[in-house]
Parts: sequence; structure tokens; C-alpha cells
Amino acid sequence: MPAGTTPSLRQGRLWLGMIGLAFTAGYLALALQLPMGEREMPGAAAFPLLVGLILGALSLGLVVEAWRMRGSPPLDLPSRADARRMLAVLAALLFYILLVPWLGQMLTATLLTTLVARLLRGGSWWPALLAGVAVGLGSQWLFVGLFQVPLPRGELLPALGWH
Amino acid sequence: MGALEGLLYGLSVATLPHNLLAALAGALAGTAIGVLPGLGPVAGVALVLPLTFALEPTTGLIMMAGIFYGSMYGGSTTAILLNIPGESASVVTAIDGYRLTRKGRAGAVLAVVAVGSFVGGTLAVIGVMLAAPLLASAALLFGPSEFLALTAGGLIVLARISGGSFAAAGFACMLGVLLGTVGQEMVTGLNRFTFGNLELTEGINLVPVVVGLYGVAEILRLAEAALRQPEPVRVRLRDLFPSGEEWRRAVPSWLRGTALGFGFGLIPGPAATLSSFAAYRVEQAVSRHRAEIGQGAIEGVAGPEAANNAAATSALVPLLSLGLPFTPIAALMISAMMVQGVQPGPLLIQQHPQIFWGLIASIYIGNVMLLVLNLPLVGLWVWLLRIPVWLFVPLLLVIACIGAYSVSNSMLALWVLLGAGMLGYVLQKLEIPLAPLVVGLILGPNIEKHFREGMILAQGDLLYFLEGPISPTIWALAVLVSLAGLLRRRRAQPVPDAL
Repeated sequence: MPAGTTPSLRQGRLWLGMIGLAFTAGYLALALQLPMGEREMPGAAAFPLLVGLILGALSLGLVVEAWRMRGSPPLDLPSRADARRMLAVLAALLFYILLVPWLGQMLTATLLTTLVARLLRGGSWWPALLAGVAVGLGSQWLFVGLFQVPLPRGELLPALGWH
Repeated sequence: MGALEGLLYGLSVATLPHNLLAALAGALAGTAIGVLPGLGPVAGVALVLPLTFALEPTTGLIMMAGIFYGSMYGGSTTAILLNIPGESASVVTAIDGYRLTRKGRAGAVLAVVAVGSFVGGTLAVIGVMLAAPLLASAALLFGPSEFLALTAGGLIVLARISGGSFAAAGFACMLGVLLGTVGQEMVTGLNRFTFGNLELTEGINLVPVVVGLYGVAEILRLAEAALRQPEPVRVRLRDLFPSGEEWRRAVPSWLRGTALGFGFGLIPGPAATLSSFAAYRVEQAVSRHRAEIGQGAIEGVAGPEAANNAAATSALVPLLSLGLPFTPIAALMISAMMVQGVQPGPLLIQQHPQIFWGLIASIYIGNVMLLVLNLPLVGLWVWLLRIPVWLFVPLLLVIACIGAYSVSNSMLALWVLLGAGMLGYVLQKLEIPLAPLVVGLILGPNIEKHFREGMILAQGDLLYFLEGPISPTIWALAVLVSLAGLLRRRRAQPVPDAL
């Protein structure tokens, strides 16, 4: 990010405090709908209300503290190319979550590894594909075969007759 | 059962072949986790947690403990060889350790660190062995008032000393407590903040939160810096022998660091990190070679490394005697016990002596294993650093997904993993500590339980929580620590660049 346009730690903390306040307001509104109970027998709302009020106060504290901050350093943000790479990895994780119920763990892990490896390495697809197959088969053997960890089987392979 | 008798019993448990194998596997995996950038001790333990469910409780906990202290050892390797601390407790190790590496003493420093970690870890185990049963006996007399003071007071102290301002750490802490209120409420069985989602009624599981906050967030940071992989120095076996003078200078620093670290481990907070910084300060103040510290002195490595291992071990005291976790790793161990149907708390020693004494004895054995294996295998650990980032980033991502999913076999866990990863990335950029969030999440439900039990017992009288000698003392200590922190901030001197 070009110098001078990088947000500061102060701005980041201000935003966090304000988001915290908005989040707390929503949480408190939901907590108020729960039964309060009596002083001798507090209901389900009592503790969340206390938690919400303290979190609200601390969010306000973050805002005030950031407001009074002087000479705040810039945030350690990635360059545009670095940010693109980081966001692509995040997107790959999102696709994993969306695809795993359909493709199952083995195929999704293969796909995720291949894509992320190619993205980070560049060049030919072959090393990335090899890594993907190795991770997909290896994780299946280790976790499902050896440790008997139940992982999503998906719908595709069973539909193709693979059990 | 006395301490010696207990230890002998523990040795008989820990030396069973499957337990020895678990300690070895844990120590080796932990060292690899500590060496590799991207996975710290917390994420490493969280990732293997689901695998331990297939094992007996004692074996699973022995493996988790092995990963923990193994990663403490491994974390210092990258700090010394590359000036990249594998975890926060190794930050100070990098200062003198890396300077000594540049002077050609890398092998000797690695040996001093390995022996120092062994000394710190094993001496601290003796302290745990003596202190934990005493505290557990005393805790049998505790009621909701004392437990509320311990849990809530502990969180206040944690927020105060976790680093950063009270508002920042407190914010993280209360966010964790808030997440702990999601799910079925324990007294009336009412669903809170579940929005009709059945999976949410069981609450937000600790494991995806921890793997996301520590693991996924770190993977995202690695992806950012993917093209900048450092080149480690080569270390030969014959270089691993410190000189006579280096041994002589290291011994007093190990002992000072161990004593300091043990004390820090008993306090809620990031004990390993704080104790390593404190030990470095102590060496700067009392060492006969204090002028060299910061320029590449063996004391600057020996003291902090013994301290952080001692602190990591003594943090087991509140875990094993009170069932209270004050560090993210301890929170994961509690979580593992609960999944296995073992109720942590003061009765653990009586009801499950094989877990308590077996775990303690396994730490002795694990420390010996690490000492014997780590030094000859240093070449292997350095080789691990050569694995290209493009290969281990997706591999870690797959392991993170498997670890998160398999705890509860739920897709919700994967969404929590994604959310926690993004939250961890943002909080790290904003310099907000993560440990209070994790500890808040695990202690929050306990705090609510003790609060509501106390209110019912005292028929609504809030003064009940200040009755007796223990609760007011704990509250007073929590307030004192908070006030001391505020005063110290006002008088704060600039921290030297080296730190």
C-alpha cells in the first residue's frame, strides 16, 4: 500500500471499538428477550446482560484509548500482491467448506492443495497436482484409515459406486 | 498417596509401551511444529486434539503434553538459526541466540538451550508434583464464592498482564466469555443465541476457535509472505558441544530462570512468554557478564529458555489441582479431558490418579527423550525449514480443516474455523492479544455456573461472594495487579530496541 494511505493502528482500533459497540448492542437486545429470573434465582438473561455491559464498556474504552493515541504507527498491512495471495488462500478455504459436503474430504483436500500450491508456487501445474494428490490420499490414509477419524465422505464418490 | 509414592505409580503408568510411544510421538511432532513457521504450540496441540480422542485419556493427555513441551524446544531452534522465533516465548532467545549463531556458535547455543529446557522442565515438574496435591486438597473446601473469585479474578489478571492495554486484552477476554454464552444454558436448558440452529445448541467448540485464531490466521500471514523463505545455516553434530566456559556461564542462568519461570507459571497469563522476558531482564541485572547481553551472551539464551520451559510446566498446577486453565494449551487439555468423560478439578488426583501421576511422570520421561533426540536430530529439524512454503501452507490448511471438523463431526465447526481465522488475522494486525479470548471462552461458562450457584445458595445476597478469607484475598490481589499495571504504565520507560 502506498505510503501516506496506510491506515494507522489508531484508526484500526477506533473501528474495532465501534464494531464492538454495535455488536454488543445487538447482543444485549437479544439477551433482553431471555428470562431475567429473580435475584435469588437468576435467569438465563442475567449473565449475558452482565457480559454485554462489560464488553460494551471495554469497546468504549478501546474507542477512547484510540482517540487519545498520539503518534500511532501505521498498520502492518500487506502490499497489493501479498494481499491478493492471502485472500486467495482464504477463498480456497471457503471453497473447501462449500465443496466438502458434495465432494468429500479426499477430493476436496486434493483440489484445495493443488490450487493453493499452484497459486503460491506459480509455474507448471504438475508439481501442484502431485502435491494435491499426495495430500488428498495421505490425509485419507492417515486420518480415516489409521486413526479412524470420521470425515465427510461426500455424495459424489458414493454415487459413483466408491465406498 | 505421597509425592514419591505417586511418582513411582506415575512411572509405572508412563512407561507402559503405548504411553511411551505417545510421549515420543508427541515430543517429535511437537518439535517439528515448533520448528516450522506457521504452527505454534497452541495451534499444534489443537490440531492433534481429535486424534487423541481415539486414545485412552491418559495416553491422549501424555501425547498432548509431549507436543506442548516439544514445540517449546522446537520454537527456539528457528529463533537461534534464523532470528525467527517459532513462538512468542522464544522472542528473547533470538536476540543473543542469533548473534551467537553469526559468531559461529549455533551448535553450542542449541545444546545450551536443549539442556536448559531440560533443567527448567524437570525441576519445575518436581514443584508441580509437590504443589498440585496440596492445592487440590485445599480446593476441596472451596465453594462457588472461591471458585468465582479464582476464575473471574484470574481473567482480570490475565487481561491485565497479557500485553497491550487493559481495554484491548479485556475486549478479547470478554469476547471469549460472550462466545461461551452461546448454546444451551445449563440451569434451565434454554437455548441462547442459537437462532434455531441445532448444531449451535452444543455451544461454540474450543478447538475450531483455537485452530482458527492461531493456525488459520498464521497460515494467512504465511501466504502473505510466501515468497520470502529464509535460508537456514548448516549445523553439524560435532559443533554441538559448548566450551567449558559456556557450560559454566549457563548453569547459574538456568537455575535463576527455572525459579522465576516456576513462579510465573502459577499466575494466570502468558506465563512462558512473560517469564522468558523477565528472565532476560534478570540476567541483564545480575549476570557477571551483563555487559555482553544483547551482543551475543550465553546467559541471554540460557536464562529465558529455562524460564519458559519451567513456566510451561508449572502452569499445570492450576490445571491439575483446580481444573482451571489459565493458558490456551491448558484450556485444550481440559477440553480433551471433558470429551473423554474425565471431570477436571480438585478430585482428579483421587478419582483418576493414573492421569495425574502418569502425566507428571511422562513429563520427566519426555524431557529426557527430547534431550537425547533433539540434539542428534538437529540436522533433521533444520532440514524441515527447507520444506517450501507452497507445500506446507495447503498441507496445514487441510490439517486445520480436518482437526476442526473431527471434534464434533459438524460443518458448523468449519464455519467457526473460517470466522476465527479471519478474526485472529485482524486482531493480530491490531495488536490485540489472542490468549485472553481463548481462556475467556473456556472459563466463561464456569464463571456463570459459580455465579448462579452462589446467588442461589446465598438467596441473592451479593456479599456472599466476599465472605471468608480466600475470596476477598483473591479479589484484592486481582485489583492490586490491575492497579499496579496502571501505575507502571504511567511511569513506563521506553523498552530497549532489543526487546
